[in-house]
Amino acid sequence: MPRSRSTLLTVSLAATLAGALLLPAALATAAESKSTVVVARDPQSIDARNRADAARVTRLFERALLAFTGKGSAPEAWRELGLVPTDVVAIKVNCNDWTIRLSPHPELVTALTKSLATVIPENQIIVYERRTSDLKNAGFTPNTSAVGVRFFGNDEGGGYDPEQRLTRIVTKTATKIINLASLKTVDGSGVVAKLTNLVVGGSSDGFGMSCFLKNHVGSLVDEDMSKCHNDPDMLAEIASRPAIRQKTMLVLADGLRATYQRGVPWYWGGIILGKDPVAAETVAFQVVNEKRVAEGVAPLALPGHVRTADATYHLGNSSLERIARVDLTTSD
Amino acid sequence: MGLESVGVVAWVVAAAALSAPPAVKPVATLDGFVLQTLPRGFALESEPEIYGTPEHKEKSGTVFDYIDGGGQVYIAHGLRKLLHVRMRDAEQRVLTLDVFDLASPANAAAALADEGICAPGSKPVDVGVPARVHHYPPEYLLYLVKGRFLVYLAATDELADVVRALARQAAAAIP
Repeated sequence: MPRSRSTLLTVSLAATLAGALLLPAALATAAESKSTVVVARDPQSIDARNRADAARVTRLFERALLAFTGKGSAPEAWRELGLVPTDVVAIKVNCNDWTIRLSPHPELVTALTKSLATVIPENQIIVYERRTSDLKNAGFTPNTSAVGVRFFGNDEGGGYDPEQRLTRIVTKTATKIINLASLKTVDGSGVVAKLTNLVVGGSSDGFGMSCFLKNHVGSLVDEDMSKCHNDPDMLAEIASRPAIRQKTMLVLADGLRATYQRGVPWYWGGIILGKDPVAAETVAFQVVNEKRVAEGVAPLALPGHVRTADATYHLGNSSLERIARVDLTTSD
Repeated sequence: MGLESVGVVAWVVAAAALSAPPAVKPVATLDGFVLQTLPRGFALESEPEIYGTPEHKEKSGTVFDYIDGGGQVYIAHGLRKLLHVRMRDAEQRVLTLDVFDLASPANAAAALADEGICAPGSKPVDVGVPARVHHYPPEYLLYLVKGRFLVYLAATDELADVVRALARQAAAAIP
């Protein structure tokens, strides 16, 4: 790391410790009883044409991982998260190729897989999406061979589990799951907002965001996918299915390029990392709302399905009082 | 008819066949929309796809198979069918053309005005019909309406001229 780069660490514990300067190990201790979510930024990790700087993205990810676990190296961090050498890790990505391109940046995926490969062989890592063609369109090279990280879709994943109605990549092949979402705002406007308000009983924005809780819609049997559009609480239910709930070891959002309004891009240059998907989703809303307020756009209310994930399915914490947000900012 | 007359008729038929323009298969069609050619240097990446609604699936499935939850807004605006064409040139640059049949001109106009489709911040662009464009580097996105169709074009901004030319061509392809 160049000497000119400085790292600012801040932790917000229900806003009472906001701005306090602490070391990563201390952060883990201070936040022990809460769900820790790391918000790491390096504005120079991405340029204004959506080109990521691989070296900076790698450092960004490593720093976030180590801060989250309080460990000093990637292998230690992964072991802390429960990874063992025999594990097969499935990484669910969300390839957004429609209008604004918000597919996961290959540089971040590479940083993640290289880091995992300090503990498990690369071929025990599967990056998957609904269809292999989705991955291809997002810039990944499909690979089902016995060499290197595997990239393929549910369409080549051995079918679906009839009980959980999820791809067998999740239910059978993988022993651990990483939820790699995109920081995508889908706030309602126009006709859909009016319809959504009726459907979800007055919730102002329907999904609000397509982030961690929506990512596993792409793990569903095809015919079930569109059902969630009229039932946002289904997102919480999907995340509670045994394979997803029990195997998820990390959630990570790619916010190098994000949207803070539907269809309006924003080069945020950051990632959100944690283990609790509900807390991470709540912090993702917080991050987006900080930008919306700065841009004079009304903030999004936390939608019902996030609260349902907490209160009904006990998947994690949706209350900021029970979340320890750790901010890491890298700048030269 | 004598042999001489038969010969004349045969000659006329043969000549007509030779002088007629060769029958060219359109690149992509959707009911009233017929795209005859692709922009110079581009080829179809795959066969054009046609999507329908959950009630009326088409050969490629429903709009949700293509754009997931993004399909809701088009259903709300009366979507009947969607043609999706993806093209690529030798430099691996991708050009997308989507044609939404929204059942009526009023639906198509309302869709263009809906920020759930054409996000805030778009600007009008002159392609001969009502149209709006977003330039979010590196993307260049263009929406136009003609008749009951909403047409969406997307590419990187280095292809902005190609997008505008294809927009004019697409508009002309709608009767």
